[in-house]
Amino acid sequence: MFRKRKRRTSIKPYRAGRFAGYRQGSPGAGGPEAGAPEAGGPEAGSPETGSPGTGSLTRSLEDNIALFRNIFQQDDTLTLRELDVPGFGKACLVMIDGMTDSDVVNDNIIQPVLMSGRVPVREPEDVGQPKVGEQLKAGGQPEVRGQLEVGGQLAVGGPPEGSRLPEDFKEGRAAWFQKCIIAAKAVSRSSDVSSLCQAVIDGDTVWLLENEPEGLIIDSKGWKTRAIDEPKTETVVMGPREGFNESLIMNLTLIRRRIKTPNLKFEFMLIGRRSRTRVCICYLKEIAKESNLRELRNRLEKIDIDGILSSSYLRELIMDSPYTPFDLTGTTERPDIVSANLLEGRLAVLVDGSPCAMMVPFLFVEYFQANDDYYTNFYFGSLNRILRILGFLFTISIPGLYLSLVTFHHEMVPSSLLMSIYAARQGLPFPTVIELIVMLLLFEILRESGTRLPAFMGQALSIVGALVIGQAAVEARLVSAPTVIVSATAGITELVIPRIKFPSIMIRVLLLLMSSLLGLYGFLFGLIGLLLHLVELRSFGVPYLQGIMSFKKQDLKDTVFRGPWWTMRTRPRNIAREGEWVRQQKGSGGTGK
Amino acid sequence: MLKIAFFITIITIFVFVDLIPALRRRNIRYAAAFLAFSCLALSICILTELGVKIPSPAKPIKTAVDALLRR
Amino acid sequence: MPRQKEILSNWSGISLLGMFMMGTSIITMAGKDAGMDVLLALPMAAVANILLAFMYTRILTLYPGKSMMDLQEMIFGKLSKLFYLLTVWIALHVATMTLILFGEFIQVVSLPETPRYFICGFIAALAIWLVKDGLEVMGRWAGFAFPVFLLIITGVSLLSIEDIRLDTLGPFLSKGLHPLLTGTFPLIALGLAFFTEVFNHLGNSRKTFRVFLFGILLTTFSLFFVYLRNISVLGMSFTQSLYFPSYAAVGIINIGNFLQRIEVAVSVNFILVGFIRLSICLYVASKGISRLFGFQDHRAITAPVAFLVMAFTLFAFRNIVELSEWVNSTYPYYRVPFLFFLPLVTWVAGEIKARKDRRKATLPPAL
Repeated sequence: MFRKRKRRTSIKPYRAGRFAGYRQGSPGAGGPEAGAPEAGGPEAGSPETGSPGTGSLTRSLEDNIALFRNIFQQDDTLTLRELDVPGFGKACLVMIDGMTDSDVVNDNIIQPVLMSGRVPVREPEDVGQPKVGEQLKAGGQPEVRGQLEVGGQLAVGGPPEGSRLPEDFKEGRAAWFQKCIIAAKAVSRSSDVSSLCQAVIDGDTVWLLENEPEGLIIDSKGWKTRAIDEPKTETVVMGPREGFNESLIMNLTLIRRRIKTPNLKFEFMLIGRRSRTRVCICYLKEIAKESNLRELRNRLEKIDIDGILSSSYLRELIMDSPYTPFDLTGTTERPDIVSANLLEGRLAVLVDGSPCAMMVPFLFVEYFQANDDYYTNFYFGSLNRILRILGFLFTISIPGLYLSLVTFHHEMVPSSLLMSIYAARQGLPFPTVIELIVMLLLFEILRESGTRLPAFMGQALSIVGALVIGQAAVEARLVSAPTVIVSATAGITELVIPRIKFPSIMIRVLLLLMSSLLGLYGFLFGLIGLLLHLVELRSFGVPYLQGIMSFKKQDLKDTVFRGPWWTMRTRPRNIAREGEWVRQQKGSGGTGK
Repeated sequence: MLKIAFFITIITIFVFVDLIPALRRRNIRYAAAFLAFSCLALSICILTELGVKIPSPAKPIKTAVDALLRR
Repeated sequence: MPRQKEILSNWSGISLLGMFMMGTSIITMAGKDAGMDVLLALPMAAVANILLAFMYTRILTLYPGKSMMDLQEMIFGKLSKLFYLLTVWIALHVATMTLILFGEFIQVVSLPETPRYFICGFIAALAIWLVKDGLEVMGRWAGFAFPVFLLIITGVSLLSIEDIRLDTLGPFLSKGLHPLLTGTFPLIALGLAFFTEVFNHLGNSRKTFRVFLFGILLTTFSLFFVYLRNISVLGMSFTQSLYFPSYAAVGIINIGNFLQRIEVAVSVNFILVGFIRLSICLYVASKGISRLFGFQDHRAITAPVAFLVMAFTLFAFRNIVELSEWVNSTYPYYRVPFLFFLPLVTWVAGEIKARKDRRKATLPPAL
């Protein structure tokens, strides 16, 4: 009956393996094999593991093609291009339509391959010459042996000058193609069917040869992505307007362009049995804390889930306290915020297919920090921060305080105010607490329906919301005007920090209920409980409330206030590596302070 | 009656928080202590609700201290 | 899986100590029976507290990282269970008194129709939560709440500057030394003995005494200010006739007909400090009980102990009159054997044992 819920971090035989080196970066090495599940065994090939095939290629091209057809049966996006390479026999290209870049496939794979057979025998001493693809890219005109019209453009035919004979290659003909013919930036060889299939799914082209037990995996990924534009959820007044999109590599580029040091590291992992999503941990090697990094890797490796569609999946799977309503990881769609976090020694996690980066450790103060604070005047930034904190305090406390003052502690309300409140409450059918709960509920319903509503319906919502619920309900004496004002204030102040919305709704209702039981004392007990919960939270071992109510001078500079840049000489405590706290030497900047 | 209901409510919450995890961990000694203390508390509560005057230890202590200090 | 050792920062230690010591005096004005002399009694009690702190520091630093109960187990073996029992008894008693004071205070000053056990239940539940989270969280909580507390005290006292009239003070020592001594005795914080179970978690054991000292001085200073304000605002005889003088003194504040009726600030303060007092007592009691029964972890036993305290509140003192009489006339003497002689015996025995150990360590191994 009270069976303990299965821990989500239970270790299964299959774990998301880490990429031993991203294929595009290191051709030939690693490749998808490292990321592939341990093939073989009863699980391999079964739908549960998501591993597409098993075994290895045979020497017969026919059989190999049949194998792929079989694995991808009923998948009509699979494209098989059969070629007859002069001098070598039959070959076949396996790819998925839409995942590959047609230009790459046409110009860099098919064309050089087709031309390769027309070559007379060459002397081995010509080896030093550049390959044809590079010559083409450089715009140079290599010595033309045979010319061919492709796509209205004079393309260079024939094998490159320096290519050696296939007979010179002891590793076999596949290696000859890999090293001398194919003009793609990353080519690797494999005979493992499951990794070949995975490569096809990832958007690479697999090149199968007659009488050859190895296939070539040729990098030809290419698909349409959304353009880089400003994130709709995080606008900024002054500052960079680039935002992440759904392509992981593009997002990493955006980060790399801001921090140009080899110490910026990107570690890849594969998570998700079926979705096989690439997940990247970014950090600055000399600044990030080693223990945090180890912990993050550990927690990510323990994840055993079938699919990851957004970084939010990961967030809930790696939280220190799974039941808290507060965020224990930061989220952003902006590369500048990620870069700033990396420079403070935090770690970022990006997920392929999601524009949201996740950052750890996350502290409570960061709810109240915005990137605009750093781009505008520091007085203005500090003012805005204080407004945000006040907004949070108002939105959680106003309904509870109003309720307890009106129902329990009349003596504390100034008498003129009390009179007007009581006059407004004359002849109302419901007690204040019911009124408040209903009004707050209505506000949340309005907010939620407004979030996903098509724009043309918004008008109706605002008319019904504002006029009917606001005005008519008061005039019909269903609710009192002060209640409407109180719940509206609570609702508006909730929007000051959109990210803390859910915790504030929850706290507000809890405080309201406590106030309805014990008045101001209940309210105070609620606040004590809230503080207790915040105090017990930790994000990657860092106390969640660190930086708030601290008396250390350095801590105050970037918490409640945003100090000027020349005062922020150190990174926030406990986040960066020990001894790497200084980010700015004394005397930096024109002030010389 | 409200008092007993309130006590039982609070104890029930901690049955879920403390007792059941202890039982699951086969920590019988702890579970026994939990039950013993809770039953003691609950029985005191029921007794006072029934109108039984439980003598407060404060009174004999007070007389003893008075006798000792102000002979 | 054993939890990693909890470490208290110095500020957490000071906050816990300060909030514990002010726990009830802030609202009931312990020692007010001494009349005007209570203002002299405060510094005297501070001196006594510092002397006590010497003893407690010594107990804690004889074997760094060991609490008093650890020391008792090392010295007395099986007999130490008796010591635990006595400590548990007084801790439960203090917890019960604090919880009843909570209930009575809230009931008397603003919610007369709400039953006491209901209020006590909420506070006890919060205290269970805090104690179960462990000492480190408790310390951090206090570290956040203590500045708020000090801020409120300072703010409210500044607001009542208008009403403070120093000519109402005096005469001092008009009835000889006797009232001074009877006023000093309740103010001596023998409850500091509970901190021999807490401060063994201090990160830097060499600073134990400094934490004690700073906490005691801060508390004495704050209390002195509060007492001065209450007496000069209300007058001595009125102060003595009230159960909650601070509440009344702050209620008088009226600035420009706008800032008035801010008594609730006093309630907030009392609840903050009383909550820590209750939690420390609960912590010590549950730790003692878990040692009595041989449990590894005090967290598991905390909730039932709190139920027991809640049950005690049902019959121990029926109302604030009984409680006040007990606190003023009996409790200061009744606590002495538990909170003074018990640590004293432990300390003396500990010193002897430490000497012996040291001699054994310095002697060359037996030939």
